[in-house]
Amino acid sequence: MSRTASRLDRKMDLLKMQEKEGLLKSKEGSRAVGKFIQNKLALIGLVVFAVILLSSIFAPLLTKYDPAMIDLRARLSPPSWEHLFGTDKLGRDVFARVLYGGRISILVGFGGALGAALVGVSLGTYAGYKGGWLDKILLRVSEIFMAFPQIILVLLLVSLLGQSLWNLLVIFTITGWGSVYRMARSQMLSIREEEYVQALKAFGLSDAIIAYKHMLPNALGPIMVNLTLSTAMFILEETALSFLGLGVPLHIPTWGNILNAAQDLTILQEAWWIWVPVGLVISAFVLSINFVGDGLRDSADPTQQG
Amino acid sequence: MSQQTKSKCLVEVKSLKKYFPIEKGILKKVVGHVRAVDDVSFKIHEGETLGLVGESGCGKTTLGRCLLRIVEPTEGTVNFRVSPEKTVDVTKVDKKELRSLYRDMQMVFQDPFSSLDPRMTILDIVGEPLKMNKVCSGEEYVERVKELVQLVGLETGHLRRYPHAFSGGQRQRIGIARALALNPKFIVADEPVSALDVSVQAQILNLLKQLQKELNLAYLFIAHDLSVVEHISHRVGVMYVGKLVELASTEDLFTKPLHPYTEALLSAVPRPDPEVKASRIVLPGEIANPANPPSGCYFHPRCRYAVNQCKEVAPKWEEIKPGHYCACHRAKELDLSGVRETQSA
Repeated sequence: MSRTASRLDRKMDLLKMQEKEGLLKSKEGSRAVGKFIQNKLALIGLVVFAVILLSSIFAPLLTKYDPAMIDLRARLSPPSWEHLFGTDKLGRDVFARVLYGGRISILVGFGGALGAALVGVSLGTYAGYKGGWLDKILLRVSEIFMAFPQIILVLLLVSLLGQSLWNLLVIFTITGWGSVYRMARSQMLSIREEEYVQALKAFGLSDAIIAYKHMLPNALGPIMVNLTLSTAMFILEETALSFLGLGVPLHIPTWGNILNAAQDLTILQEAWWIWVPVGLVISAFVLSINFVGDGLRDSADPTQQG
Repeated sequence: MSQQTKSKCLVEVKSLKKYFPIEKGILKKVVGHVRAVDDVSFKIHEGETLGLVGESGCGKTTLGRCLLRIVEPTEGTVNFRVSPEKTVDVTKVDKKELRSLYRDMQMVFQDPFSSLDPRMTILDIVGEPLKMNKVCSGEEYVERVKELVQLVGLETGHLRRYPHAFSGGQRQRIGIARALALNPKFIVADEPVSALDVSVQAQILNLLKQLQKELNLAYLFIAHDLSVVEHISHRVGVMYVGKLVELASTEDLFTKPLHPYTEALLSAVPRPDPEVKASRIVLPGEIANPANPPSGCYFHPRCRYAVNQCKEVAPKWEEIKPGHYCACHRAKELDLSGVRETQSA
């Protein structure tokens, strides 16, 4: 009993001494990483995310089929060793299409969400902190963008620039920044009243540093969740737009384009292999992003023990 | 006291006002003003503590923030002596100059739980003003922060910890260390001990006193606890609805108050002696509305000495005895009782 106690004492003394001399510095730096790794869900999310992302990027190594290659002799064949996920109406390999489709879908979903978050957060943080006319104007502008029918914006851009992936990203950014802006702004409004912000003001820190360096990290939690949710939303939205022929051109495989095939009732009923795997992949991807987002938020917050 | 008057005046506040507009309707028409700070004048000398007491909502905090221009004052001047030759008006300087002024005047906040950024380590919190003003960097920076942390009685080993790992008293020490980072001459302490429990209060008060001695600091010490103020202050000002009603040395104010409001406040101080029968003066009515104050003397509806003159004419802020200021028509004739125990001090 006493031996254990004295051993623990010695350990504590050692820790204290190390801390005093600043030797624990390097450990502190990786504290956030350690916490993230301890979070099982986040770790699983990260693994799933990485697997899907990497297999999309390295698609040619994982399948011998060209996603656009039509093979009419093998139309609507069920899953087999030849075709892992079977083939679609035109005899294209679904597995290859899911892999290659991930490239576009992830880019559009993630890119759109990131673009919207970047614009929304950077404007919302500053305007929410400063308030006044800048905030009022931006708030109205964001309302206009949110009230504007997305489809008209899409039509406008497509008719001006033609159908392309980049248009989609621009459109998602334009239509998506409003809600992020409002969220960041409302967070800042409450943090603005905290005394540490007053304290920073009393040190003569510039507004931008107070807003971005000190207040933004404290507002990041809900924004992070919003980012992960809108990634999922944009992946599905891309589906809808592609279906109308306004998004990614139909011959390019995307998760949305593949799912669209299930609009056909016979396929929905008889060829489950076309839409079930891709649906699962989308769900898994969205879920993994959610877990990773949660994990990032928790590990970045020093007040959360774990 | 006498030695205090001889030392040089550091901060001079002249008829400082802060009115918050009350807006109504879609057009934001200004229908009135909340007079949070209403024509307040006083001086603070080098190395001196001026206590400021009053009920909640009487404008103490707003006054403190006006001095640092965290809240923009509506009118009046705050003259701050930067160096023996140079005095600047804090209310008039531009942003850049204000920033350099913050090296000399700082603030300690009331709530130690919200006044530290929860995402930064102590090293960063205390060091932020150093980095900001490019005072030092690298090794020197860490050394300076260590020095500051030791000065307020914390362990240097805790520098890499986050605020949530500290108790209220420790956090307040961190707040003080942060305020001291740039070697200020003047600190506005806005109820620095109100959020702490009594034993920790004493530690923090003694720390503030000790720092004052070592660094020749001047404090504006805002509080609502009279015994705290008595312990730390050289002089004490009493505020009522945005106005200073009395200002005197601590001993004078506690033993021979001149304003009826001060007398009532003093009678409410709890005494640790069960034998003493407390003769509390209970003020009738509510504290006056600063948006719609009474005529004449703001205190007259609650004052038991009020005469007709009090209802009509606002009393002047006068020096009744040397160093003892009061705003009351009857200051010279009344004989008010203070707290007896302090006479020994």
